Amino acid sequence: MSAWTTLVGSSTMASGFGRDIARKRDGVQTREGFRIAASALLICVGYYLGARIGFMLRLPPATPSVLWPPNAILTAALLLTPPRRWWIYLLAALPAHLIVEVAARLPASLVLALFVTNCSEALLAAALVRQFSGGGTAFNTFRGLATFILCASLIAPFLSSFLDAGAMAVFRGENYWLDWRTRFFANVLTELTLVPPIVMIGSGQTAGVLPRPGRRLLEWGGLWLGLIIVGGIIFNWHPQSGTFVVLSHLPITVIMPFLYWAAVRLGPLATSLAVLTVEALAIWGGAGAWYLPSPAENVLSLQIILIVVTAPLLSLSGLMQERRQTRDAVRASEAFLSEGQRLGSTGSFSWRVDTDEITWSEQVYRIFEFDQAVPVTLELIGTRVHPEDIPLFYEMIDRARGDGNDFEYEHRLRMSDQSVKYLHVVAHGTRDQDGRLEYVGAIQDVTERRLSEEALSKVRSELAHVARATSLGALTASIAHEVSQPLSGIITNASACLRMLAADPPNVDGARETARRTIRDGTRASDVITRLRALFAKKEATTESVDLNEATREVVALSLSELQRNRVILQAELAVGLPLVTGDRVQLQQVILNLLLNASDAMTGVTDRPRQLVIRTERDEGHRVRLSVQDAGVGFEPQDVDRLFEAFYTTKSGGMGIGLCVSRSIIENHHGRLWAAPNAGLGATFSFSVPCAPGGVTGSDSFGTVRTPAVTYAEHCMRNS
Amino acid sequence: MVARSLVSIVDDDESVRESLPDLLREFGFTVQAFSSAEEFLASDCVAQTRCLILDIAMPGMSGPELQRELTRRMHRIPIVFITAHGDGAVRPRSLERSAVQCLLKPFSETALIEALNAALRA
Repeated sequence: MSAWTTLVGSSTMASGFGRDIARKRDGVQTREGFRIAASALLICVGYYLGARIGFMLRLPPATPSVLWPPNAILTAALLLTPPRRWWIYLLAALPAHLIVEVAARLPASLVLALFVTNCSEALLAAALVRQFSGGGTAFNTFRGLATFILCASLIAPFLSSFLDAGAMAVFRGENYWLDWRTRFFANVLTELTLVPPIVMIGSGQTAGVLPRPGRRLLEWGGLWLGLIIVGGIIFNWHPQSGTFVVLSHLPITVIMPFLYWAAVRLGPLATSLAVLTVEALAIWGGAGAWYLPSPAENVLSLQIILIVVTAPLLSLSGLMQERRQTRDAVRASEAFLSEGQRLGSTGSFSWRVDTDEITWSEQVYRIFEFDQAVPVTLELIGTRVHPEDIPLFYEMIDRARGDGNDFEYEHRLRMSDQSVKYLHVVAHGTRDQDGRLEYVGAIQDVTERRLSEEALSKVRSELAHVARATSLGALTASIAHEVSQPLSGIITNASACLRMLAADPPNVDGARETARRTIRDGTRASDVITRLRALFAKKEATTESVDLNEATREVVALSLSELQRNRVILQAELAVGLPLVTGDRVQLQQVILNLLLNASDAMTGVTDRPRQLVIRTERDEGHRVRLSVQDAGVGFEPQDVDRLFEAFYTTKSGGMGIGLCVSRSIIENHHGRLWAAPNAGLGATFSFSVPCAPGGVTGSDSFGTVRTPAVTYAEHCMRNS
Repeated sequence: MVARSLVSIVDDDESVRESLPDLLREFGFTVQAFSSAEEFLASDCVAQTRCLILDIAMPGMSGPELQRELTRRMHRIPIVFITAHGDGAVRPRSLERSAVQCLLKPFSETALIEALNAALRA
C-alpha cells in the first residue's frame, strides 16, 4: 500500500481495523492520528523535494522553472483528503516552504505571500474538482479527467497566477503581466502532468491501470524503451541555426505516437507518466530543438506545446479507459447471462427473416450440440430436428415468414447419438424502420420436464384406472347384494314349496303361500334390474342439437395426453358441412372417448408399425351421420364380433368390459347403431351412425375432407410429444 | 338328523324370515325367526337354541357382534352365517370364531342342510 493511501479518508481506514470498532476506538484514533502525522510529514518532505526538483527543471539560461512540483503536491494532497483536514496538510507544507524560499534569499513577507498564493491555487483546484466531479476524483473516467483538466489545471492556475504575479510585483517590482504569463503556464503544466499520477497512485486507482506481469508489462516496457531512446535522441539533437522553422516542432511530432499509444492502450496513469517522461527528456536535452529568440520564450513554447498535447491526450485516455471498463462490464454481464442461460437450460436467438441470418447464444449451441464456430442456417437446424417433426418445423418457419406474428411451439431434436430432446420455442416478431422482419426469442430445453410430465401422467392414468375399477367393484358388490337378497328368497321359497307339495298329504296352502312369495321376490329382483338400467339410460328430455365435429374435437383435446402416452398418431378427418344430430352431447362424447381409448389400448403392444389412429366423420345413407374410429391394433376374430358388445366381455387385462356395452346402449338411445368390423389390413374399425337433426345443417353439403385448424393443432401437439 | 331341535334365525330381511322357517320346518326343525340380534337376545329362546342361522350385515347389532355377545354370555351355540355380500373378507374371520359354516345368498337347500347338520354335530 502506498504511503499516499494513508491520506485517504478516515472512514475507509477505520473499516480496515476490524469489526468491533467500539472496543478499538481508542486504538483507531491513535493510529489515525499517527497516520495523519505521517501524511503531514510526507507532504512536508514532498513539498521540499518538489521545490528542489523544481529549481532544477529549468532551461538555462532562462530562470523560470518549466514545472513547479510543490503546487501539484499540495493539490494532490487536498484532492486525496476530506476538507476538514485540509488545514493540517497546508500547514504541514509551511516549514518546507520556509526552508526552500528563505534559502533562496527571498524577503520573509514575500515568502509568506507566495505560500498563501500557492495554498490558494491548491484550495481552489481541490474545491472546484470536489464540487463538479461529485466529490470524488475518478481519474479513470472521462468525466473525472475533464473536470480535473478544466477546474484544477486551468481555472485554478488562471486565478491564482494573478495573486502570484501580484505578490511578485508588489514585493519585487516585477512586470505583472509577464510574471503572470510565466506562472500561469508553469502552473497549468504542473497541475496537468503531476497531479493525476500522484492522485491515482495515492488513491489506489491503479487497478487495471498499472501493468501486471505478462503481456501488459511487456507493452509498458516497450513503450518506455522507445520513448526514452527516441526522446533521448530527438531532444538532444541540436541542428545548426538556419534550419527550417518547421523542424522546431520535430521533437514533439516524433514523440506523439508514443503518447497516443499510452493514451489509447495503457490508460490515464501511463499517459501522464509518459508526458512526465517527455518533459524530463526535453529539459535534460535543453529543449534543443526550440529555436526561438529568447530562452524564456523557449520555455514558454515547451510549456504550451506540452499543455496543448497533454489535455486532449488525458481526455482520450479517460475515454479509452471507460471503453475498456464498459467492455469488461459487458463481458462480465455476458458471462453472467450465459451462466444463467446454462442453468436455466434456456438460450436466446434472433432470426432476420429476409436474409435468414440467425444468431444464437452460447446455450443454444450447447442445446443443439453444435460447435460455436459453425455458421447457423435453417438447413443446419433442420439436420437436428427430429424426422417426425420436420414438416411441423418447416410449417412453423413458413407461417412465421408469412404473418410476422409471435410464435410458440414445441418440437423434438434427434441428436447424433440418437437421443431425443424436447424444445420449447417462443419468439417475438418485430419490424425495423424498413419493415424488415426480425424474430427474437428463447429456446428452452424442456426434456427433463417433459419426461417427468410423462411419468406423472402415466401414474395418474394408472391411478384413474384403479379408481375406476374400484368404484365399479363397489357398484358391482352393491348390485350383487340387491339382487342376491330376493334370489335367496326365491330359491328358499321354491324349495319349501316343493317340500310342501311332496309331503303326504301335500300342504297345498303352504305351497300356495310360498309360491306367492316366490313371485313377490322375483318382482323385487326385477325392480333392481330396472333401477340399474335407469342408471345407464337417460331420458330423451335433455336432448339438444350437437355438432359431432365439435364434440369430436373436444374429445380429442381431452384424450390427447392419454394418446400421447401411448405414442398414438392421431389423424382426424372431419367432413365439412356435417349435419347436426340430436342427442345428449356428453353421452355421445363418452362413446367417442370410449372408442378412442379402446383403439389406443388395442395398439399398446404394436411396435412394428405406426400406431395410426384415424377418427373420421361423414354423412351416411338415410339422412344419418357416421363417426368411425380406425386403429392399427390387434383387431379381433370375426366370430367374436357379437361378444364384443356383451357386458363384462373384455380382451384387456385391466378392462371391466362394460365400455362397449354402455356405448351401444347410449347409441341405441339415440336411435342409432354401433358396430365393429375388422380392417382389410390390420386392426379394427368401430363405427356408429345416428340420425341427423331435422333441418340442422351447419354448412354446405360438400363432402370435402379437410383438417380443421383445431385438429391440426391437436395433431401438432401429438407429434410434438 | 336331530328331530325337534330349535333353530333360531336372525335376519333383517323379511323374505328370509318368511321363507327359511317354512323350509326348515319341512325338515322337521322347530324354528324361531327374529328381525334383529337385540330381539333374539331379549327372547327366552337363547338357552334352548341348538343352532343359530345368522345374517352378517344387519342394522343395529351385526351378526359377528351377536356372536361375540353370545360368547361373552357363555352360550356356545353353533352358528351358520348367511350373507348376500360376496365379500370374501368376511368369511374367514367369521369361521375362526367357531362359526361352522357361512352361506352366500342365494344358497341351495342342500347347502343349507349340510351346513346345519355340520353345525349340530359340532
